[in-house]
Amino acid sequence: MTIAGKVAIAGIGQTPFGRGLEPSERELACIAIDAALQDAGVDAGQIDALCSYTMEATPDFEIVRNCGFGPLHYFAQVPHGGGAGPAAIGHAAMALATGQAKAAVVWRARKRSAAASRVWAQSAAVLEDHWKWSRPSGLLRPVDEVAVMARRYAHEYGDIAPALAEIAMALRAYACANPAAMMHGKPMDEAAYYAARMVADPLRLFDNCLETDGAVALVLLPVERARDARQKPVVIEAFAQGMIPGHQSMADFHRADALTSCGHVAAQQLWRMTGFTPADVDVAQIYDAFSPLILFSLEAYGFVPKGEAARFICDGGLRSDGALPTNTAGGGLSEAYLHGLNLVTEAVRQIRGTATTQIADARLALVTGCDATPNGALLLRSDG
Amino acid sequence: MIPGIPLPSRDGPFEAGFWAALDRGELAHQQCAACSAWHFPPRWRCACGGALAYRPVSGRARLWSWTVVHPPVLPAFAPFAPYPVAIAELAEAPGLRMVGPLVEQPGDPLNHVDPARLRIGMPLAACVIALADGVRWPAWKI
Repeated sequence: MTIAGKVAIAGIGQTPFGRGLEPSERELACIAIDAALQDAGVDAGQIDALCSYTMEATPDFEIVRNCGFGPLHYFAQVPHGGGAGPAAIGHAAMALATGQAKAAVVWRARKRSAAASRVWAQSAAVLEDHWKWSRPSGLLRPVDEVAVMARRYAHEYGDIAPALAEIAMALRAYACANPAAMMHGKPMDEAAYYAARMVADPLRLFDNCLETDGAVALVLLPVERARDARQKPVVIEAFAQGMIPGHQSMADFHRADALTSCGHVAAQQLWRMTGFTPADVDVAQIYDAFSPLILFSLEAYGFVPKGEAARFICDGGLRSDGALPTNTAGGGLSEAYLHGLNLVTEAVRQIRGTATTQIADARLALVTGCDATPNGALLLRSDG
Repeated sequence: MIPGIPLPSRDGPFEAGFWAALDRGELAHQQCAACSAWHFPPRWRCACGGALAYRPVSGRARLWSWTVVHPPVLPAFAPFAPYPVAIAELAEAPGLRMVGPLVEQPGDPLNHVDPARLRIGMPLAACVIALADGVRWPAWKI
């Protein structure tokens, strides 16, 4: 038994994305959820399932109270930060597919534009978790942890600097076509990419996602009911999670084959759950808190053999006329960083045919979670 | 020692032998009695099911990867940024890796080693330094 074809994303909503937004994180969540409900044409009182990230600051009961939901029959949170997004959708979909609940909301809200709000900047004086093994040596931030993996990858497979620049430029070009993107109206060429300051060598400023104030939300319905809703249903074809033995979140240096990530586990499971293959994917939304994660995920999900992602990217593979248009609203690097949940809403727009850079006849979309944490993935398709 | 850095707790599960060795000025890791596999970070038992015991390691390693950390960083590290941080792969086993600072001599500041000197695969040697009073950690001599 799988959930294939049983559940659809019926509504999407979002707030403005920006820095220094006035509403509280809780109000941003409510605004995005309200927009998603209106988009779907579903009354708040009909929602009986709620999924989010364990890192979400607003408790589920506050959402229920503030948004006027009905009695809830399913509520869950998914751990591991940016690895959680596809699974938050997947858990809600499993609840609907099994009849545990009838209508679900998934949301993510963040107010992270203030520098002091960064998680790493609030490091405890005494570390009890696995970061005790790395942070005292000065490896402080997620970007530092990805930088050492990027350097090792480049050592094994060759120079990745041109590919990182192309990732940043390709996603910026998509953002420039997306009026909602934080980097809309801010084109970037190669010289500007290389001129930006180094943050964690070999990663520069524009290899990092945008710390963002904002929220996104989605409404899920059983597929039959979604066909009667306001929007064209976007059907969940497959969902998978992955965690590789020996992994520890972000600081994942302690396995002999450290370059084979949790994403490989999620990918193998995803492709087992469906008859589709990587060659069938029309558009990809790949988690990109940092640009090297796109290289790693392209290989994990089987779009290119190991070690060939940089060439694929430099050949224009991520562009709208390329082999695999990727992060077509600008992604975390250039649209907004809502812990990857805005990648799911963009996949929905692509399948609906309403994206700002619409890929012609997009019928199958992949969404991935963070390659450097335990993670998950979704395969979304058009109905019929 | 750098005042104000985040410090590791020393009372976590399965790690008493790790800290005890460092307190003696030695580096030790868990080794499986059944299959001889080495493990770090500390764990309950080997993936093969075998029992683990702390045994001294040679301290010989190679540079597996590194980064150079540029601002913004935590305030305690700010005077040293940019500074390199190493991932050292110990000679005992592939995958037996530790994160640590690079030095020429124990006591060198965090930013002492010029990153231009670093090459993946270069030999490193462990030396035990104090992160704070009563908290020791291996740094890696180039």
